[in-house]
Amino acid sequence: MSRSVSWLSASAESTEQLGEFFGTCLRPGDLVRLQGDLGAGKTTFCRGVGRGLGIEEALHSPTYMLCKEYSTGNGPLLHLDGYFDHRLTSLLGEGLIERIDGDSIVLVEWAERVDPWLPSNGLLLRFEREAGAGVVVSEGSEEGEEDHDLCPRRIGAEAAGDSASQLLTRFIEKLCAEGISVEPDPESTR
Amino acid sequence: MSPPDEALILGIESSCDETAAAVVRGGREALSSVVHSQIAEHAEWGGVVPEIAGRSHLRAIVPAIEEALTEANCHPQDLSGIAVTTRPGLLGSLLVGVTAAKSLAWAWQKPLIPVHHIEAHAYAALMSVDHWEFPYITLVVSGGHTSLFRTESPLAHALLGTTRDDAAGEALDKAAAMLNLGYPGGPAIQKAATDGDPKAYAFKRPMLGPNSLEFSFSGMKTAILYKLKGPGGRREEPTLPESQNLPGMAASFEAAVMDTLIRKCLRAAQQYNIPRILVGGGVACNQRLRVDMASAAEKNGVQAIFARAEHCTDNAVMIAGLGYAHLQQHETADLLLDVAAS
Repeated sequence: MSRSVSWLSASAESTEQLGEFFGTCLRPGDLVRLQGDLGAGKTTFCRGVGRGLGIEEALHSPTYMLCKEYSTGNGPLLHLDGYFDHRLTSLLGEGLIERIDGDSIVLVEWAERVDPWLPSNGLLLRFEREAGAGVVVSEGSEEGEEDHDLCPRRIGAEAAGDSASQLLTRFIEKLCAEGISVEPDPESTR
Repeated sequence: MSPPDEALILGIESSCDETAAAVVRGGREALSSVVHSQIAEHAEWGGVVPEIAGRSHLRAIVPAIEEALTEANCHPQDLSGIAVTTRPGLLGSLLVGVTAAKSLAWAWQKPLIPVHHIEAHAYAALMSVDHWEFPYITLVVSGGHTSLFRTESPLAHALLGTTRDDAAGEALDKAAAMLNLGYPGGPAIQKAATDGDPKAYAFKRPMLGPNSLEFSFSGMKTAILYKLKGPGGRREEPTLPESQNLPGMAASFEAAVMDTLIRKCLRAAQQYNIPRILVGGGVACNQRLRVDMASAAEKNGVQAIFARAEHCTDNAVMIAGLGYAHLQQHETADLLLDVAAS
């Protein structure tokens, strides 16, 4: 049974903070897909995950390098990016695919672009600019430009499979312990 | 004993899409440079073919090395060492180059010299300078990296700042994809921007506070996305309506990226009171960056030195060149040499 919930994140800082809490919940073998438009907050969240896993080096976008690997106290973390889907599928075909089912923690940005290559279970995180929140014009922005990065993000989570479901439970518990409220995903009530 | 000034080094590079080999004399003079790019190979097939990509480095490495030696009219016994990229990069790709280098170093009984890919990009810029005057402010900017260093010697680089999110080249790649200009994005944007007005559209230059030497290009990619999606993001897919001008959009975005890089370099030069800037990496090919950096640097009494265009994108000349500098310091490795992703 799949279940879905979502959170509202008011800022990039809070997205990164959510990522950090999420990182503390990850266990070896966890697979997490991250979907969302350009600039929706996937990499920002992952940077928090890196911190939560105790990785000293700051995580950056893996778009160009396709796959970045880090060691953590919980085994290796693979940070993948499907934006250049053909380039990543080449790499998966070269043998990277075998490590996704293994003991590594796997984060996949732009997961929808390489979906056929990924196992069907795992936790899906969807990043969206919050509809209706409108565009915030940042104060003192140069050239009076609209700053879309200031509008809130909704982060939806959907678990498929037992281990993803357990991961989601650990995350929800962690957030409750940190005093952050969890809303049922509006998508799921439609 | 230091290697002679005329020492020949074979360089091998396979950290990402390119398989490259080169022979360089005395850390300075490229006798040959062979670059086999997967991008060109895939273009022949009208797209990336996983079967080709997977084996590309493996198939290309030996012919590339043979060609580099032949072109340089160099016999294995003439070599003083074999330099190879060990980090950072894709592990599987790096392993192909490192395994080849180890095998040859063992078979030919030559020193094996590990080289850091980013430091090699900085060295590529140093190869443009006849008489080195350390320290330098160094910018290495490519699809995967955007970092500022204080460079004390070819082998000593202190990191001053790096990107918090996307590399500059990645911002160009993503903007090019949104504008349907193809991959890699840097050259595609540059071509589309020809004759475009760089002031046609307003893009912020993300400076991240008055003293920061870090970079952030994620917001710029959001900015172009919303310019293409229309006010309030009303269009589902990013498109450039025909009434808008593509050259202007490309030129404005390109100028914003390059301008940000230039301002950060000048800021670092000022903060550290170092009036010499080195620029290397794939994005250093960009004409707007080269021209605008030169004029901005001159206005500020700073010297800007770029790697030669053919040494900006991944190549093995810079690997062999930096390998020579390592060999002078007796920095060699044994056959247990390993690769690293970062």
